[in-house]
Amino acid sequence: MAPHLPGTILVIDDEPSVVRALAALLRREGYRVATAPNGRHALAQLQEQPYDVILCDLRMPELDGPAFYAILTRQYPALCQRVIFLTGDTSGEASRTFLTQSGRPWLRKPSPITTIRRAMQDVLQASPHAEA
Amino acid sequence: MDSPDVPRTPQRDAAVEEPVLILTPTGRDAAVAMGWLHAAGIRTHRCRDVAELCARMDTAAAALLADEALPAQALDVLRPALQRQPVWSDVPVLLLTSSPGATEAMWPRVQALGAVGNITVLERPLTPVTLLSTLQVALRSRRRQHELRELYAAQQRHIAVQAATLAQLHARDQALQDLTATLEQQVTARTAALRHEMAERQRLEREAQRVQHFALLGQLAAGVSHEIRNPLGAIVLHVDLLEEELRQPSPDSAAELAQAVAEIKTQLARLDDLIQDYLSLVRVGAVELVPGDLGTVVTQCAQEMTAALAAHGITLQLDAVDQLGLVALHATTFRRVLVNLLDNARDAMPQGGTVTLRGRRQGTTVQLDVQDTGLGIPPERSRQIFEPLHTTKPGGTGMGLYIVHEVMAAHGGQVTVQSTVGAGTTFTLTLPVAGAGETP
Repeated sequence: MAPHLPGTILVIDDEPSVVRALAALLRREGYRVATAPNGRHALAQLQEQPYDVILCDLRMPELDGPAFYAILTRQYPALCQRVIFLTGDTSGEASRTFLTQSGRPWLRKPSPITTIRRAMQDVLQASPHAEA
Repeated sequence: MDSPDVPRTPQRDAAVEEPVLILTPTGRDAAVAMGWLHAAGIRTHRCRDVAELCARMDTAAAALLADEALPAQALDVLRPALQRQPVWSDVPVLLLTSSPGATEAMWPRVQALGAVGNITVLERPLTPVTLLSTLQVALRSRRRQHELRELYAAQQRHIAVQAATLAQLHARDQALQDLTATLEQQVTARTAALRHEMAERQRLEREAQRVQHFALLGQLAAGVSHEIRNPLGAIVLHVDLLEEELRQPSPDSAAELAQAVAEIKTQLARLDDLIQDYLSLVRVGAVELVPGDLGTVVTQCAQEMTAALAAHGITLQLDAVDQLGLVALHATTFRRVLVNLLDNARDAMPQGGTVTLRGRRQGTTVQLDVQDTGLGIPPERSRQIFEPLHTTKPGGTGMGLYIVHEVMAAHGGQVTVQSTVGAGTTFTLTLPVAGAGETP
């Protein structure tokens, strides 16, 4: 299982079923998990506390993944390296360009929890604890 | 022959004007005869020889000649002149013989000439009465011939006029035929050109449709890919969760397992729904319509969806749907229309409400309202809602109303929408009554 100290995770996705399963799986491993249905809600939660890993969908209503990431780079630049993108939209030109330019790791939906866990461990090993 | 072209009264003057030709060897005989004729008011002309007589035959009232001037054996010189007469003409020829012997000698030749000429033999000596009465008969006959000539000429003119008219008519007919033929040729050529033009236009339209089709297909493929990945992602993670729970149960494992299974079922149903939507779109171009009772289809579908709607606090009401009657229908495909509209109604009423399905017949069409008491659609959006991939709902595919629109079109019907923000939305489906305009 996860060899490191449990961390805090923010799951941003407009798909309630995905959010529910991810949160349940991660909580079983000892993570403290917060969720947000879009970028705007996520930004509100970031005002309260930083997170060690941010799992973020690309296509969402109100504030989508790329727009959220743009605000993050300005307001919380240190948190950018904690973002992992999860997306069902990998064929779109705009999505591909964004993912390439951001340089952040990204996972295609559907991905099993083992793949997601591996990506999270990479982020946590690089810098275990987030500071706002 | 009562045509005005034909003079009824013959021109007597013409006959009177023509002289009686006289050919006698002695001047005395001629003078005597001319004297009698002049006394009777008959014009005469004395011919020098038989050649002149023959030459003037056509314009003579009659010919009077003595056998001394033309012996029996020379009688045949008259034949060509008598023969060449026009059809109406038969100049009377009076042959004066000098003795019974001469008459007898003359007789066989006169008989032979009788076939071509009008010859009378008078034996001398003659009294003026004999000559004049015989001549009177001859002139009368000649006048009749002139009358005949006039009639004949009139008839010829009449025939000529008719022939000219006929020729004119024939020419007009020919011209008309030529014109018709030309027109037919032009029509044929123009039709061929139009057909070619139409075929070319259809080809271009097909080409444009193909391009549009592929563009839409690309959009749909991207859309379906995205839409399928979300439920798939949820299923994969819930299966992971099931696995973890089975391997290492958590304190409320039973509840976790039940919820994961329920979630997987929901997502599978969502995938199935999504696939049904796309399939209905794929087959919409080739649906075979059969007469079916629309009320039954609506009632069945409503029964199937009542529970799911009730779970969202929504009441489903049916109003006069049994009056809808027969329409040309592909029931499975048409069901997508109802499912998609009821799904939309559900999403438009997050706090619950009422959906009413209301049927009515209007002349040759039936109408079904799907009316909700939900959020309503702002007017500026109502024009776009039937476009493919247009959605305002988080997680929406933008396919639902597009499919409604396409399926209604495939049924020869249409869908319209009326909405008031805050009060609700009514979608109206209009379909032609089965057999409207056809033999039942």
